[in-house]
Amino acid sequence: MAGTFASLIVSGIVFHGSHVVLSSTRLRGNLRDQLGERGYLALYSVVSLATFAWFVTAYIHAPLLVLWHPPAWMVYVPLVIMPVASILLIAGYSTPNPTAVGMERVAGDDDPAPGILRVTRHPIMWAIGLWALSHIGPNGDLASLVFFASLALLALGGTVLIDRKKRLALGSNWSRLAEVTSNVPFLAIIAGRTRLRPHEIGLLRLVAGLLLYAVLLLAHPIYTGYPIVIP
Amino acid sequence: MRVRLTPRGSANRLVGLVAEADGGVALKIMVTAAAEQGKANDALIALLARTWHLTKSDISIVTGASDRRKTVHVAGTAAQLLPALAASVAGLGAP
Repeated sequence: MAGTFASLIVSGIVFHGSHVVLSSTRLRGNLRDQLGERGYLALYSVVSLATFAWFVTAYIHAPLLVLWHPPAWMVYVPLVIMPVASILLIAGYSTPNPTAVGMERVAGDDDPAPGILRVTRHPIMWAIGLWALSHIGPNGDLASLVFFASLALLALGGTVLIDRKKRLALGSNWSRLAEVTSNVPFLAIIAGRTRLRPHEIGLLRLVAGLLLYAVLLLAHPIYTGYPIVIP
Repeated sequence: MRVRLTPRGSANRLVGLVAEADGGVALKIMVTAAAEQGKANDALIALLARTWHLTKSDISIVTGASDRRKTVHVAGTAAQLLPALAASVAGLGAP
């Protein structure tokens, strides 16, 4: 069934709106008081998954309205960025992160930010943000612009909202963490506040990240219907 | 090139190769646009132009403008187009 831009916009507003309202407004505290930490997280997960599935479905069904004709070289943008995003995702999910939900205690560790956290304290958010940003240019249609740009804004804007919450929640441990990490990838390393230690990330995570990239790339025509033709 | 187009589909996408009744092969493509006022044909051309890094004017529908079965002309030399065609079909799997 063919969809409309209206359903894309409505589903987008509901997904993004519920995500921000449930996580970053007073409602979060109220719900946690009433449902408990676990109950709140369960509600947040269910709402996020359901509304995200709706947003994705609306995007897939949306009309194809071309806004610009992507030059052939634009295909290289995601081809180059996605290996980085895949490694950030795998390493992010497999490294205890003091900025993650329920992981505040990690901020008290001797080294609160090992491995990939030396690159950025928000590896998963940057993985999502880079994925979304790199897919805007080569698509060039209205539905893709709405979908990918809004997700990039949510992921990267979300890092600022998470930092604000964690500054309050972690107290002095926040300053310890902020001192040796950066939000923007590699900034703390460039500024000399920490050092890149590849052995902490480990070969396994790098290989797993590149494997994920290969699967995403090879299966792309099957799950998106959009074969990647390299010029 | 032979195309079998599905209008009012669930997505804008290349689906794969399909066998035709006469023994030939067509590229099956789905668009969300309806087959009215040339909307589905416009979406087909936009989709192919983006996939193969061409402009809309490089692609024209030769026959079957109001039919599911179409013949599409793609401007360019075989040397330029065949690798792009092969790459897009290879990823889609068997019919």
